[in-house]
Amino acid sequence: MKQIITTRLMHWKKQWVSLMFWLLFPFVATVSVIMITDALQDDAQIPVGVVLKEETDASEALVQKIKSAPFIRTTILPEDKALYRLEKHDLDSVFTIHSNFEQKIQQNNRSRLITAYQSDLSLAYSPVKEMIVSYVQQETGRAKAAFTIQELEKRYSGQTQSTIEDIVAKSKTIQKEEDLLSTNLTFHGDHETMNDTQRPFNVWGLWGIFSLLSAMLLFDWVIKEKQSKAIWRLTFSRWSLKSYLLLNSLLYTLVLFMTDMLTAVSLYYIFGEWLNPANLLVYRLLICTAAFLLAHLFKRPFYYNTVAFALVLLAGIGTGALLPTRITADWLPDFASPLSPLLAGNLLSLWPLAIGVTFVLWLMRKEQYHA
Amino acid sequence: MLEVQTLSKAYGRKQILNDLSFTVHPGEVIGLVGENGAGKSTLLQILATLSQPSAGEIMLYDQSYRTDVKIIRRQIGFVPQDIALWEDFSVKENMRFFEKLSWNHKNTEQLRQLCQDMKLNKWNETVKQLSGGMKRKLNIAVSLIHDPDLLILDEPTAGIDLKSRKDIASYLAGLAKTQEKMILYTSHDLDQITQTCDRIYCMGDDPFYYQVLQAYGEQPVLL
Amino acid sequence: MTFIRHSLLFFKSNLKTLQRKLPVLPLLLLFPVILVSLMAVIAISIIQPDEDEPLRVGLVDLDKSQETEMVIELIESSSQTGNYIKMEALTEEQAREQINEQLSAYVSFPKGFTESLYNGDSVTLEVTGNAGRRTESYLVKELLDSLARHIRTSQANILTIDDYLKPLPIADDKRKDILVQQFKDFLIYTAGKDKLLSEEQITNQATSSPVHYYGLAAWFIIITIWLLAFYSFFSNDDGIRMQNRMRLYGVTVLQQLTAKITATCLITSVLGAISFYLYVSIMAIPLYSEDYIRIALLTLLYCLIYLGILAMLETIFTGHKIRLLMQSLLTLLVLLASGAIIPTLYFPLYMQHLLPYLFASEGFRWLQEIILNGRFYADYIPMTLMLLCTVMILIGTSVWKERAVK
Repeated sequence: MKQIITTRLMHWKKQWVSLMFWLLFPFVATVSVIMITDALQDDAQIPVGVVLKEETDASEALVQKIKSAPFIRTTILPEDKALYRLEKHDLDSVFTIHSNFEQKIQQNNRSRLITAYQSDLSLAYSPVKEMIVSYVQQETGRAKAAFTIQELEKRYSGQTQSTIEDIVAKSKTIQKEEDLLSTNLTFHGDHETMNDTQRPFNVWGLWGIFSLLSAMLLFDWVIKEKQSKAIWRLTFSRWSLKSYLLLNSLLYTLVLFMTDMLTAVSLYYIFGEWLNPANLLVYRLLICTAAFLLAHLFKRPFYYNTVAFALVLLAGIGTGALLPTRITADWLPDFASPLSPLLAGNLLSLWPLAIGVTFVLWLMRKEQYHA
Repeated sequence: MLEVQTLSKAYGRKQILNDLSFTVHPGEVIGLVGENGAGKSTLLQILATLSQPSAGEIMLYDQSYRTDVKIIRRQIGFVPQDIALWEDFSVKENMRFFEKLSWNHKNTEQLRQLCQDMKLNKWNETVKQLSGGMKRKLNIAVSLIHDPDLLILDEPTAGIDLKSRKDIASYLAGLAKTQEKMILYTSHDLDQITQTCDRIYCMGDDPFYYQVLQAYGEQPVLL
Repeated sequence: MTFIRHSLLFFKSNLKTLQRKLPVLPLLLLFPVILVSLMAVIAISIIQPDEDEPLRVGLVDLDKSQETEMVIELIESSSQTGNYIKMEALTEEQAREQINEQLSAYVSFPKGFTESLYNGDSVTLEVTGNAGRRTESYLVKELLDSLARHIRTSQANILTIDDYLKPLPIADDKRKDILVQQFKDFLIYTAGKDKLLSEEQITNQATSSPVHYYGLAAWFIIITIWLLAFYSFFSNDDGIRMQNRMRLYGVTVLQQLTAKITATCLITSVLGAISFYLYVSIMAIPLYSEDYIRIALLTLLYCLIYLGILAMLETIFTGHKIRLLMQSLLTLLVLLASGAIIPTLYFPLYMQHLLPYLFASEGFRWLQEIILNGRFYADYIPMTLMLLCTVMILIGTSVWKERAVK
């Protein structure tokens, strides 16, 4: 083994730039994609049109509230224009605040205060609608509370002592002080709490796909060395071609796994996302074996690398890891997803078994006479 | 001692080698000549254990090619027609690389000595930068790292300058004489072959080479 | 003249390569189609949840107070009608048993939930998701967040009422009863929240339905990937010796690149035309013959610029791994910027200002205007200028490359 390490180091010394690049690639790519998309997501805004049919304090307050939401870009415009732009898909949705808005709220009458329009291409209609509804509901709810209090005061002390404004102000302060109800999502089985800030990508899913690519591209050494003239010298050496390839793959896998551990620690510090090292090891062994086996099908690194890119793209889209939003490809059964050994520690699934069986077959295959 | 008895090789219906028998003793340099396609390379491949004969028996010092391939391979040094080296590596790195993979250990000084014996003195240059002659020398030197008893060379001097050819030929001759090695090689350079070899085997059906060698005053053996 | 002759020669040899490797062709053709279908399958499974098989969410009452029972009953009954989320009351054991199978998630109302609400103590609703159905669990969480917002408002209001009732001459028991009654009222009030809003959906009758839009986007993505696939297919790793031989014949890098671009463009044009015809006829989009000319021009401009940049990357990056990486990255950026994946409407404002300067978004925008919005006009000047720039830079890099290699 010592000899294999020395000889491999000699190769690496020549290729260190490329080696370092592909070793660091999964980490760098994951971090950059997530940071860029995080920034973009923060800045991405849903264009919403607001039509004001009355200009009162209440409607003005509602507009301010909508404007203050970070994910909405509000435009105030007349109804016909707004609907035309919605039809052209220049706006995601349009909200019309009807006349008598303020009056109706004060009268505790909340039916049809607002009309919401969406087009058939609206992607973000629901969250915007929910936000507006909850805000208006807040206002009408307070009015309702005020009415109730005045009524109760009338019933028990014969007169109303408090004004509606006072009560509404009081309710606002209480809500501000006692914002105490929260929700918390955990998954059955793991004890970690999911982060509340949701990323557009799953950190480890993304990393899994990028490291699949880097593993494939690094393993083109198998083709380069198998096709080189120098390799048959192994016939007259202590090592058979098979053991030479295996031991070197093992070395590559080891170095890659060490990088993985460093990556895991760094990702934990940057994003606070941890992964079971056992999963990491299993996945690393898996993708290296897969790359190793795939490389045996090719005679030219160029074709192998091109195919690697295509396969990785397929895997990335297929598992949903390369698609934005928190899609985890529910359509793909867990046992068929190449990422499931990494993300769920699923060992008894399609890919580990397929790769394992192929590897055993490769091991049993008789070595060619001369090499 | 290398003994070849009634050796035959056929690829499908095509008979390449037919019933060859000969013996090589320690200290002998044997030359193989013949036109392209006469089966020289095939014979060398079989003697180097890289290919199996269809029939016949080969023995190297009481060991059979059929049963003891692993042991035999330790005693064979094979120099292919192609330059079988890492192009990006320097002379030193190539020597060290294959030394690591070989059965016996040699230190850097010994490796360097091996190169110098062949008048290969560009120790730190990469193979890419070497001249054709230097590449050939290194190609041979690497095959000698594990001190083989039987050295098989396929056109070791093709396409290189006269000086390098002389270096290589005299080195091979010296190796056979001083270290009792058996050396077998092919070449189209009849001047050199007649000067270096103890015996010359002529292969193929065409009598051309045989006649030319006789004109040199040699007594080639027809295989 | 020699330039054209040489380019033509390589163009022919490229086509011959394709002929020789005909078995690979279906793979090249199908690859982007498979990719796009995969994306579509995923997108549809996300956007349109299966109505026959609603998401099932369990509600576990650990508090067992009158109020939580009411809340659960209300949620249960309101989720019965037509929604794709079905909520049901379960015991804790049932929920634990079913979370690995039918349930997408379950929500636990903790012990002392109501008490805390009345007292203004901090309380958390626990959502336990099915690890196998993460996307659905997030949906449930979102739903619950919105519910929690409403409960918070109601809570504040009830606490306000309580505050105002305290000085009044009411017995404690009586006051409790009133509060419970108010809790009920607010609950029902919350459930009726959708009353304050009337909803309408606008559809553009002419064309632009989402199917048309995404159909066009899919076609756009597919031809882009075809361009990349065929371009890579025609690229090979001819060694330095071959390149030297070429140079002896006076063949320049630029000629070979031109031939490759032409061959790729030609094949993709044929395929693109066929697939576009399929798209237009399946979607029954009315187009005039001049429209076809406009569309062909725009597509051609887009293809040429994209291929020009691919060629530029090829001259700059010599290692084929890094080259493939850069070309893939470019493709991804081009597709993202075009708006074929996410409509440009949702981009941050500062990026929207950049879009007119990007060939991908220009090309896709004009295609949309013509095909989806029935426009009879397209502005080719910006894209033509961009093409000119690309050609200039490509010539520059290839000349530089030729010098550098020598």
